[in-house]
This record gives sequence, C-alpha cells and structure tokens, in this order.
Amino acid sequence: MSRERSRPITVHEPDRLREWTRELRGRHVVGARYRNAPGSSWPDGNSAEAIHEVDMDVAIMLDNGASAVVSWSMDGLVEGIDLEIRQNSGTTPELEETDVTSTPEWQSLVNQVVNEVAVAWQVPNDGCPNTLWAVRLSLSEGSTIVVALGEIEGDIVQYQPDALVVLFDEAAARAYQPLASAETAFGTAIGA
Amino acid sequence: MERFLSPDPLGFIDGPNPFIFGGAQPMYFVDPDGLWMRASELAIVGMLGGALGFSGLPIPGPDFRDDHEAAIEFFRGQIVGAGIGLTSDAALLSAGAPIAGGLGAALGCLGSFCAGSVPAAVGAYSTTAGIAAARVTMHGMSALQGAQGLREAERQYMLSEKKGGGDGAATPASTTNTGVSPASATGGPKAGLDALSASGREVVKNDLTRAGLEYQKHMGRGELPKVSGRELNSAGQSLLDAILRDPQTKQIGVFSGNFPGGTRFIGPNGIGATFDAKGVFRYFGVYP
Repeated sequence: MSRERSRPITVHEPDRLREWTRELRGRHVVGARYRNAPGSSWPDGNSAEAIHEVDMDVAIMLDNGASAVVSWSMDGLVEGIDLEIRQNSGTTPELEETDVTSTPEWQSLVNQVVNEVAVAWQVPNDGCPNTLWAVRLSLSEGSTIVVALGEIEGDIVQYQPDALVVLFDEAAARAYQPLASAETAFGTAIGA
Repeated sequence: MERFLSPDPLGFIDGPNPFIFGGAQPMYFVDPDGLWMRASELAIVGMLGGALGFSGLPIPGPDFRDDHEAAIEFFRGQIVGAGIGLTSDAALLSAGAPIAGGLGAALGCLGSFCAGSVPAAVGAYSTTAGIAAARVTMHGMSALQGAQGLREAERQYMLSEKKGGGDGAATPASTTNTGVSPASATGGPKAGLDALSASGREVVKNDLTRAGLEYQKHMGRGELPKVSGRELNSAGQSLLDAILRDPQTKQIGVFSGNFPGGTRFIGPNGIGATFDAKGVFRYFGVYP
C-alpha cells in the first residue's frame, strides 16, 4: 500500500474527527476528485446523476490547497469511513483519479463555505464500536454534501461497506439509513 | 461414480450422456436395467423420515416447540409429498398417472418451504424424494411433463435450501466448512456452495461481476495481488471459490449489523467473503 493503512474512525477517536472538522470549517470548496479502483475511471458504470457512486475515495478540494479525503475503510469487522486531510493534491499511484468539479452537482457547490460538519455512526458487526459511516458538509448557501458508505442498486441506495455514495439532496440523505445505524446519512452536527 | 458400460437403449432421454447411471446421483437413484430409474433406498428413507416426523417421533436438532406451527406445516408438507411420491413410484410400474410424481415433488418441497428452524437434512431428504418422483415421471411418462416437474422441483429445492435453517434458528457462531454440503443442517448458508459461488458471477458494472468488482476495489487498497483488468473477474471468482471450497474455511453466521441472517466465510489466510441473507455475495474482507 502506498499510504499508511486506512482505518475507519470510531467513536473512541474523537481527536481524529475533530482535527478533520477543524481543517474544513470556514474553508471554500473549490472542487472535487473521485478516486476509482485501479484500471477504471469515473463514472464507468457508476451512477453519475443526482447521487454519485464512487469506488474508493472522495477528495474535496479546499481553497488552501488541501484536500479533505473521505474513504471507505475496513479493519476486520469494523466497517466505516476514514477521514484524512492531504496538504497537497498529490495523486495516489495505484488509484485512478477523475476531476468531477465540472459536473453539475459539484459545480453548484464551488466557492461555497463549509459551515458545519455532521456525522452518522453505526455498529457494523457484533462487538464493534460505533463507527463513522456518513459525513455531511453544510455549505454557506444552504447546500449539503453527504458522503456515505453505500451503492446504488436499481434506484435504491443500499449499504455496502466498500463503496461510497455522494448525496447532494438533503431529502435523499435523510431517507438513507442502514440497519446498523440509529440515524440517517444526514447525521448529527459536530459541536465546535 | 457409477456408469453403464453400454448406452441407454432409450437414447438421450436422460441428457447428453447415454452412459449415465441413476442421473449421476447414485445415492438417490437406482436404475438396475437402464430403462428407468427410481428413488433409491436412501431417498425412500427420506420419505419415511418425513412420515416419522409427522407422526411426532423425536427428530434430532434444535428444539422447535417454540416454532410448533411451522414444524407442523413442514411435516404436513413432507408427509403429503412423501406419500404422493411413493404412490407415483408404484403408479409407474402400472403406467399410471404421470403428474403424481411432479405433484409429489412440489408438495414435498412445500413442506421444506415452510421449515424455518427445522433441521435442513430432514427436509433435504424428503425434497430429494420429491425430485426422485419427478425424475421417475420423466422416464416413464411424458418427457415434457416430467421435465417441467423436475425443473420446478429443483427450483423449489434451491428455494427451500435458501429458506431452510434461517429465521433465527439456533445457528452456531462458527462452523468449519466441509466444502461439500449443499445445505448446512446447522444453519449458516442459505444456499448451496454452488449457488453462493454463482452469485459472485452476477455482472454488476460494465463487464465486471460482483466478484470481479470486489477484487478490483480490495486490490486498490493493497489487500489483494494485482491483476490486469481482463483478469479481474476470474481472479475474483477464483478467490471466492477458494474461500468457499477450502475445508479449513470458517463459516460464521452474521446476526447483526447490516446483513443480519447472512453468512461470512473466512479462509485460513484471513480473507473472507460475506453473503447476505439471500445467499448473495456482497464483499471481500480481511479478517486477521
């Protein structure tokens, strides 16, 4: 692996979440990139309409040059999301990247400021701690971006631990709730 | 595996191989003169098992008094199916009703269908007897009717395998995968290994199968060896089959989380495959 082994964020690691959140608040969104499985591009069979499907990672580019990266991550039975801040836009060699800033969904979000970060937790398997499975950014013009574990089958978003969906619509985020979570993908805001 | 030394005098009525003995299932069918096969003693034992169960004799397995109604429905289906299946065997000898076998099969399977928490082995025997009855029908009477009965019986058999043993039955937390049993009498997988494997071949994106896509993503995380794009499907399927077939693979029931009622198979190298409650492959994982 090219980078430090990914681990999902659990409720026992508030510092990891707090640090990621601190980097985002007040920053302008300037674009986004999707990282795809080796040998594939985006959309390449993934949904590219109101809900985007992403194979590996979502990188939200910020006005300071950093990227807030959301990845699916599995640590044994602990299935969840890993959050990371990358200080440059360096690519991950083994993954293909697609700049999706120009898609209609992202284009409408460019230059908006991140006002709030919210998260949703789940207990993915017996004995696992509460683990992050969805993260929401609320933006200055009232828009929201939700990145959550899942995939689209037919017209339905369903849980999948090793795939991501990007929901741009608040109603869709509020309607998506896997069995193992007590809350929807819209989540609960993190305090300052 | 037994086979005939000379071809079937009836030609290809049993399929492309005229030398095949007992439908290639000698445990369940016998065919002493090559003209027609009938349910073997083993299958008849299965029918009798259904009858004994209905009569109230104790059957080893989980206590299903809590699920009394389901058990009664199960055995009622079995006794009717077994009875008609036996009748069709007898009827064959006198060139009797061709539909009886298929009907017996369907009703026998219906019994298994109703079985939520009853040992799958008993159901499997009676269902096998039902299939035997349908095969007998195919031999002796209308090939078309018989084939339809067989297809339906086998379809119901697969469905009953998926259904049987679930619904909160007392499933052990972990069992060792024998790699041969199509349906575990102890719960766990809801479909035979072949059906579990086949679910990995479903094409989900472009030309990628579910197994291929899963391989691709976990290869991207550095968890699996790199292969070229053309090899993803075969690499994913080979990995899935290796996990399922390895006798040291551990089979673990999934009771909570997002796939309750599902099953996780973890191979001796720690790579696992998770199936949902319908027996559909969902994802690979590494379980140290």
